[in-house]
Amino acid sequence: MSAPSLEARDIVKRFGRVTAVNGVSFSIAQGDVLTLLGPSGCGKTTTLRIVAGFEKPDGGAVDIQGRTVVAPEKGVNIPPENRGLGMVFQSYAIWPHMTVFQNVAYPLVIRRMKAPELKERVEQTLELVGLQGYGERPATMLSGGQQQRVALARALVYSPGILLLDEPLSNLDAKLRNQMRIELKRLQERVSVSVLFVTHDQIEAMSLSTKLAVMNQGKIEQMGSPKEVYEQPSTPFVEDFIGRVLRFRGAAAETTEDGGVMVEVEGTGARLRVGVSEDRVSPGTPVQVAIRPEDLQVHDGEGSNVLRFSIERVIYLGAECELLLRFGDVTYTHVVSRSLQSELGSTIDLYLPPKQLRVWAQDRAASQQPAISPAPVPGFETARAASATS
Amino acid sequence: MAQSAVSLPEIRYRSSSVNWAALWMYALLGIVIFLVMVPLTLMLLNSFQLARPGQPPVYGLKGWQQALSDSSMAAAMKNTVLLSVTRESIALVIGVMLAWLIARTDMPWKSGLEFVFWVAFFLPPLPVAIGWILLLDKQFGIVNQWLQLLPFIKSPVFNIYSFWGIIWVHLTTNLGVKVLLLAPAFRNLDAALEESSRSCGVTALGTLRRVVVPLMAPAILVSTILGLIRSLDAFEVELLLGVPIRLYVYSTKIRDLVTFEPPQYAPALALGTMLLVVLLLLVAIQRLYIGRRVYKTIGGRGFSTRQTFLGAWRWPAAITVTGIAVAVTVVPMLVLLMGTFMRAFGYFNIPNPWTIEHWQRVLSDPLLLRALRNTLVVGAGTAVIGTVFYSLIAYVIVKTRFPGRAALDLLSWLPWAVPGILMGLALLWTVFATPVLLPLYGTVGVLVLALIIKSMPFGVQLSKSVLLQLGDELEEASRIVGGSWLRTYRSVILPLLGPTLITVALIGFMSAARDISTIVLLGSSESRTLSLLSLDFAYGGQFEKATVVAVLTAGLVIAAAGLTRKFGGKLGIAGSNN
Repeated sequence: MSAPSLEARDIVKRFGRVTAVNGVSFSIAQGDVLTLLGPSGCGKTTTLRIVAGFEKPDGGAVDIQGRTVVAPEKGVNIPPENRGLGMVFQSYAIWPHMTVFQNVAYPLVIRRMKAPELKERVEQTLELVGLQGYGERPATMLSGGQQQRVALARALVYSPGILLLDEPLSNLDAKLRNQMRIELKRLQERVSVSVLFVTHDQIEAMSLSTKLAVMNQGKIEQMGSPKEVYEQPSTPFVEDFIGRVLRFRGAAAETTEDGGVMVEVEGTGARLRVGVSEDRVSPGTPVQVAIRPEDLQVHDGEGSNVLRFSIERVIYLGAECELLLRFGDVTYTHVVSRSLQSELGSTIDLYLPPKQLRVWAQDRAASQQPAISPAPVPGFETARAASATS
Repeated sequence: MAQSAVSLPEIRYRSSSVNWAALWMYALLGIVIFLVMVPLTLMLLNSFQLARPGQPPVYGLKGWQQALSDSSMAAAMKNTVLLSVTRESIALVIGVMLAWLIARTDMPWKSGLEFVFWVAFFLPPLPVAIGWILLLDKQFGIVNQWLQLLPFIKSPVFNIYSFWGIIWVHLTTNLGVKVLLLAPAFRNLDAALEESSRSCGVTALGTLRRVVVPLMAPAILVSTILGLIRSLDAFEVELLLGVPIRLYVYSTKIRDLVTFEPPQYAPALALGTMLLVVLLLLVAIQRLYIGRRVYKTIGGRGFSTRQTFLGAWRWPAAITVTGIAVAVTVVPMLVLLMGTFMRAFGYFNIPNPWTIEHWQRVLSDPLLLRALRNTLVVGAGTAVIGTVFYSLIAYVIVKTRFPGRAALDLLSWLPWAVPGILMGLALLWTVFATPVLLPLYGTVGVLVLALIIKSMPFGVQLSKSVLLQLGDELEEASRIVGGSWLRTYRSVILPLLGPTLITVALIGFMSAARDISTIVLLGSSESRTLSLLSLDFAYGGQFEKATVVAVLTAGLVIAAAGLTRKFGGKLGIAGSNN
């Protein structure tokens, strides 16, 4: 199959003066899962609703299985019911006046499927989502997780080529969410449906996607495999939104022979060698150096790329210890094992491997901070956990 | 493609560039404009037109001159205002007391009493009026007869055919409306506000006056303006009790002009236009300052709050309120029922005063059977067509981005400001002026049309309020799996709106069955409903026959009201899922 299941080209959507979606393009190959990830208001849900046909874009085009379903410039706009999509809504949108069976059978009834075949197919689908035997239940007598399964069954029963998922797990409690996440992945692989998935939860995004698109302010900032996006974020926003990150302000001192940069950390005189520079920085420009906290290594004594953090407080958590650390004006919470606690003095040396460090031009890093950031703890601006956004 | 390999019947769609949804919505807007604006415009235009309908038009100002200069017109307007203001003031004072006692105190029997006032709201005014005629007529009124048995009373004490007689009869409906609107509003008041006043040493009654009433001022104001506007709908009571003593109000005046031979349409239409302008201003003010959710409080279930303890006043209060409740409902209805079994009403001293002759005669009367059939046809027609129509309008207003939806909202609401008699008059002209509608003249069809317009504001508002609670995703879920808009409407929206729509339909039926003012100018002897028939009997002095028909009408309406209460309890979505 050569044509992608779904292709969006340069979608633009304006609400009044606000441009909600600003030139978004992507394509999903058969059987792939593309996730649109971003903070609320980034345009991901609007993009999904444009694909579904509930919003009409102001520009661009969407092709579904090689057929153009919407292209305002050409006057094409096929209504949602003719697009052959399946969708799971954030609220599940289970019809409260129907039983589970009736909910799931509805798409088939519309397609005038004969009764015996219809029954068999609904039963099959209910079994697929683990709801065998629930057919005669009124839809309102279900738990959140069960409603979620009904919504999935309803979206899959007529075998649409593409499944749209609009934050389907956000209404579940944390435990159920993890369970459904795994189940969703298994199910998707089993029916090999192409999926466009919208979420603001990075764990869902990372675990379910074959391709991940991080959106910000109506644009896709970066698109790639979850590994690529996590390990090689192309903008500070992406780096910040996915995973945790620790930043040091400084100035580029000199470039090294192997293409790296030496950076002088502001107000401390410490120097960090950065393996490869993403941004072109010339000596003297203000920069930020960023590292994922999990890449920090406790080091014994001084060395190159080792920073000496002062320990401001130790919080005993039982199995481990939380250290509130400070280096210059950077504060950071580091977790160490309980056994290490006894060896602690007033400082700790951490090694920042050059390969794991990234350097961004200061102005770029500053302008691309995510819209939502957790309120800083007074005196302790800890590294941000991306999953804290909601 | 593992599962999608299974062959599924494909859905075939018309591939057409025509936007059917938009076309439908424009058609709907067109119908509403036609139903609301055309009659009112024709009313204005034809007030300058002196020839009879169907004849070549002659334009002139004579109609307006007559409407503005004729002293009887001025008198009618004055009476209208005086009657409205007087009965509204009385109903307000008593109504606030009643609502407070029922909603906020520990008065015994209060839920039963609320139900009685609720029934009072639905009772058609005509049977009540006939009941009171039988009680308070100067010659045969039972109360007057009994009072004259007392040695010191020589002449009849009460006369129902009077200004105060009209007000007395209207109290039934008026008190019903007040309790219906104000009791829920009183229930929503935070009890702590009352308790803090009581703890400062203010009595229950003092608290009512100093704290509760000022806090409730907006709700009371709304219900007052609402009551004033609605009181202009009054027609049959004024016709029955006012016309014999030459006390005209504008609605009976219009009827007079139209039934005159030759009919005086131009002054009638001029009078109607003037009144309409005043009403629209009143309504505009109300809408501007108080908001448009006129019907919001109706049907809402109150939640329990802490009660005010009346102490020693508990039983006196209960007995007084029960007295009022019985007086405005049970008494006239019982007398009405008794009247159907009397040979000559009010004459107990003739031989064999009791008879079932009237029932036998009336029930075998083809006139009555036809009226009964007409009532059922008109009621059911209004209920069914109206409900589908209203729910579509409400849907477009709430759920679409149709550019004309604001206009639709306003237009569907406008008939609320138009008293029944004016709607009937305006529609009469529309029927004359529209060749397509002309065959409808004199049939039940035109009555259905009139009543659908009349009930539109209520039906649309109620449907809107429920649709607003219905999440968009329930619909989108149907669209995305392949359901067309119409299919979605039928399979998802309609069933979820179900209980509300049943309520709308029942109230539509009830309004149709009890209505007189809207259809009195449109009905013919062929299309007469039970209400019109009993009005004709009563107006012609045939009270024995009138009572039988009135009992039937009241029975139909009360039965429908009972059903409404049954379904009204489930008002709202059948079960929301998040």
